Amino acid sequence: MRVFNPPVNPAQIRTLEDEPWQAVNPRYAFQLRVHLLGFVVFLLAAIWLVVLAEPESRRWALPLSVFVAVVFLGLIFIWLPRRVRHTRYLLRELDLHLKTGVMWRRSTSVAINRIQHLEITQGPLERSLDLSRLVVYTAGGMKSDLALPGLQSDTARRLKMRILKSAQDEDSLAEPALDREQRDGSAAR
Amino acid sequence: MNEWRRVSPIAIIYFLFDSLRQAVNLWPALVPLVAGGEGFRQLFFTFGLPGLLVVFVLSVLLHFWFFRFRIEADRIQLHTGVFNRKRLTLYFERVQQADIAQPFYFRPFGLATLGLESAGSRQQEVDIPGLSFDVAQQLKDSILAHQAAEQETVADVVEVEQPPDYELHLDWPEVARYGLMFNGLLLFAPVLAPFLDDLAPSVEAWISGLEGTAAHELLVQSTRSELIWLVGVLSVFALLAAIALLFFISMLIALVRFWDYRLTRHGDQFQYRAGLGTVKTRGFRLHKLQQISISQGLVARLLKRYTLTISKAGSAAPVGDVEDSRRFLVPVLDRNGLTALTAQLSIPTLRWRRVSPLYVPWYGASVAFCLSVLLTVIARDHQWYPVVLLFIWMTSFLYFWRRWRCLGIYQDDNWVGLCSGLVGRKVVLLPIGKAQKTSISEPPWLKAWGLAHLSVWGAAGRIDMPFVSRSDADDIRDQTLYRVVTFQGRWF
Repeated sequence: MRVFNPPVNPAQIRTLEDEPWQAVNPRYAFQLRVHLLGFVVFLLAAIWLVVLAEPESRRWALPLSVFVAVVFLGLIFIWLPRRVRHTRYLLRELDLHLKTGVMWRRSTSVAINRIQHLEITQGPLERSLDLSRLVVYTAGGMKSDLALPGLQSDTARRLKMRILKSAQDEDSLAEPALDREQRDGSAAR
Repeated sequence: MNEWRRVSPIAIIYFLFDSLRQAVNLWPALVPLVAGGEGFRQLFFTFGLPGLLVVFVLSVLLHFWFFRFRIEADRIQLHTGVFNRKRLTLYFERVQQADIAQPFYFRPFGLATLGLESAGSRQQEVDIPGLSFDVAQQLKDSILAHQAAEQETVADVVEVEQPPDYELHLDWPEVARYGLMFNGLLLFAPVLAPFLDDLAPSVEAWISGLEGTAAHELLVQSTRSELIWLVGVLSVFALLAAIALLFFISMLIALVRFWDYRLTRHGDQFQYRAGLGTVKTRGFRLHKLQQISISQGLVARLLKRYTLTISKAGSAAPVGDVEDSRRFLVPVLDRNGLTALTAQLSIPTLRWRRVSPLYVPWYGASVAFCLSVLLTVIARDHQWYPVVLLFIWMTSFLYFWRRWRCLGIYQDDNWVGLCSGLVGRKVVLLPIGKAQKTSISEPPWLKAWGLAHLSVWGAAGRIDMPFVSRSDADDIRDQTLYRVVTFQGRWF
């Protein structure tokens, strides 16, 4: 009998990097911009409050404010678009991945069968932009969650439903193995 | 019970207490009140305080208003939060613990709070306040019934009659060694330091109290420098005596805790009994194992002993005792005992792989650089400046070279692990199929060298592998994910 046994070209083996990673919603850039603006306004207000209290400090407050403003503009025009472009997620049948970071790259992966529960969160700004954040919790305790930011609310809900369904299917798949394990009393770690 | 519901209005009291608890965390905001001037304080008490009170009461009421829940056949859903809305779905089978609390303010109304804890993490606690006691009880029962269907055993500790498959007994000298190895009391030593400062004057006082005795005659004849020597020697002696006493007490505590320590294995059920006053029995089933750590500190190394700890995710323990009940401790093991026990846990011989040697110059130079800057600022003109600078750089490099030598990573089909240390050694192993999350982090300098940091989270802890080659990191990540998604059976 002939067995189906085609040759494999090493160059065609797909790695995680080759998968079709999804970009987040472009409105996420606006959300980040507002956050950044809020932070800068807070910083400038703090600087000028000090000036109000102590007029002497005006000498360094002005150059410092200009510096903060320049850094802010740099972040807005150079860092921010890249940050949004580099924030990507990938949902596969069995696992979920998130990539972030322009300079400081980070990629995080969670297997669907380890997900404990899911949460969709939305701040006031996100609500006005119709964006949501999907937070995936695992049993790893502190910091073991994975948050997908900048998702369109509808996408977030659909992702949540899909992941919930996959997690349930996983559990029903694990059932037969569970029975087998109980029957022969063998140790499965 | 399938529609969205609010909890009883009495639960407002619960939200009040909850908000108060959270408000306490905001105490640093009060700093300007102390630091600010009198005018600021007056302004605060006239307008700020009443305003804050109104906001607080409003927030409590809104939290109550927006707290809604829905109970379905196999899960509970919650909508909470005023501005930051949260939707949470918790499946009953994932609930690790369900308990009912009846605070004093709920008791007259027959209400209760149902607390649910999802596996492993305290981050995922859910409290549903203001349910009628019967409903809470019903809900708890149905959740436990769900779990009973999922797992055939709830209890970890079982009484078994047959002879064990494996047994380990620790005599009292072994247990006393644990007191030497893990001297928790030494942590209190810094607390004792101020008292030691008082020691020298009190020795002097004691000596002057000897006035008129023959010893005093001797002292009077001795010179001042001899007196200083005497005080010094007596102080050192007192210090040594104090440390010896701490060790002695620590050994006594170890004996009380682990007297007649007996570890047995029946099938996949591990159990130990130990204790002098109260005999404690603790057990775990192999499938609940989430992490193994084998540690050997400086003293343990001198004594040629190891300590092995097995951790599991949150288990059915009384509230408050969770942290301790998650750990299963084998306090003292010699080389043979360790080999036998690790064989019982199916741990193979571990062949450690080194991480990139660039670890040494990177951390060595970073730390040395920071210290050098500090030194330059405070003591640039001192005559010893160059010598100290050289010493800092050499020590820093030597230190990180030693850390690098002790660092090892391990991964096979069943385990992923990390070995670290300086003088002692610590090995942490996670069952690879139970990993919760993996993360690869690439700071720009590591990226330039083709390296990355890899972290693997288990349900009882995390291991961080620094300076791993990017391809190795990808490989370990992919292997871990593969083992996790193909893992069959119960994992907690």
